[in-house]
Amino acid sequence: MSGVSAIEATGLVKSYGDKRALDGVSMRVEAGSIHVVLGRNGSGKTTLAKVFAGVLEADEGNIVPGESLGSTEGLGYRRNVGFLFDSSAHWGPLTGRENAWFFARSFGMAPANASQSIETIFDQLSLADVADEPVSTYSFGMRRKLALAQALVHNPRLLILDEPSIGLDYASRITMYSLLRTRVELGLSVMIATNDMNEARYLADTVSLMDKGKILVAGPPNELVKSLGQKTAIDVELRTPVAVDEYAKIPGVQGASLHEVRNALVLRVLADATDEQRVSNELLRRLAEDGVSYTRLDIRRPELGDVFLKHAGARIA
Amino acid sequence: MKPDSLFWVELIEDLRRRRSLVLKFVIPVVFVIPFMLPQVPSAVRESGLPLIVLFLGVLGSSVGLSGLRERGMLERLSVLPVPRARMVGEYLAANVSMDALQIAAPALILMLVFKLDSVSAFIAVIGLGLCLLFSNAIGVVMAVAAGSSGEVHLYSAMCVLGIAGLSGLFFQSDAMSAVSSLMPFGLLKDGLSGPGFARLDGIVAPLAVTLLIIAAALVWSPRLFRNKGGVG
Repeated sequence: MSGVSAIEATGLVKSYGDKRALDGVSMRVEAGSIHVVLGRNGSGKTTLAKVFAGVLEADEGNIVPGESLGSTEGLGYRRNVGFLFDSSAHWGPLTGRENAWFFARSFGMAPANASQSIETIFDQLSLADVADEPVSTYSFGMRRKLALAQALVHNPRLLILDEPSIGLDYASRITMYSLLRTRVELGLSVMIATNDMNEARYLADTVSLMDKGKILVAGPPNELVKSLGQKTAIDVELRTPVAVDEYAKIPGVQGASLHEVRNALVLRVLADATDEQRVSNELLRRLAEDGVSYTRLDIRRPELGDVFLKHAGARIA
Repeated sequence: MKPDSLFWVELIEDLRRRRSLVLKFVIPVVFVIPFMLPQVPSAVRESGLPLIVLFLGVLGSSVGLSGLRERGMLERLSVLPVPRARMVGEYLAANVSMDALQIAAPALILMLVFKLDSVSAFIAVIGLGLCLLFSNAIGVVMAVAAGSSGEVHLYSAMCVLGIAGLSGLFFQSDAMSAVSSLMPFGLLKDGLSGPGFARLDGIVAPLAVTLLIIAAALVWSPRLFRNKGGVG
């Protein structure tokens, strides 16, 4: 990350009738980084993405684009921004290449550059084989990839993606993630609105957790998780009861308890994330030594979801 | 052919929808047949073509634009660095072109059947062009005014009937002649009625009204791209 701002918003407010979708949102996307806005359905992520893209106007607040983007007032800003909507509308009778061509040319690309860019991105997104087939024959996932291609075809400086992995299979997601990472290394700034924790964990340089139109907390995902101060939970499903206190004495263990979960007996041992491997090895060695048989071992580390629950938990109905 | 503009996108899309393309060309021809029959009173038979153009233009544009808005296409187009009024202008031009292709054959047949003199034929052709522009521009206005596809159908149908009435397509009276002389549909009807009805100086007022409606449609049309939203 460069420390330079790609775009910055302060005090954004947007209401639909009585419903406040954005309630004083301030956020900064650093140039050359991926900023993920993570939140539940209806939390205001899409509205925020649309305000950043210039599709919606905020009722209050300011957006200050970085120097490379130009003023939000003119058409020049739109030329530097790519936006993937959560829905993928296309002209069905036209081919994928024709749909992308229209976008590339409308973004002001010269014909030769448009052709080259379409070839490259269709290759990267595995759309080359179907490029000349009508979009009406595409699957939903292929249409999503085409929409992503259209958002990227003009080589924008800021890319805004709303729920980018909806409808994509695992391989396509990984392809998309890798494509985004490559583009970010070349200087692209990305803002992603999603409710997918895994996507946030996999992609984000910075995460903003959003709920009810407000940013609850923001920061690099690892630091957010670390700030929880939670331990790793090592759960062992046992066949027979054990004396919990004996296992609490294992060096590094910061708590041990026995629970009944779905008719099974579970020994839960807590440890620091940095120590979890050593503690779990020692725990299994002791269980074997004591002749205790077990059926399953789960290691549950604190994650972004826990951060979200901590900050929004009281509000979940 | 690679579509560089919305005009070509819309035109190519229309031309590739084969089933609807066949219907688009067959229906106007079928619809004008009754108006060619000699038993039809002359006051009625000249109203057929203006009515078809009115229906085609208003409903075609308004329903088409409303469909684009409902499937999220206009929202997607709103991110392009192209003025929104220009995109609607290109959409309008594409629709007018398609309507002109559709209506060319029935219009030619009617002009031959009605045995028009050269001045009347000229006025009818100008009138036809203005009707296509006027009705499609009204379609854009209806799409902007309506909130849903249901409303679009309702508003468009009411508008078509109102304009047809004001243009004297259902009946003509002295009181209405001042209004109908402003309408391109009245001009087309006069052109089709032959000598004694059509006058070259009658073109000016419908031309001015049509340009006014097109300007209003283009000025108002950026509202089509407004996101009506919902929290998300």
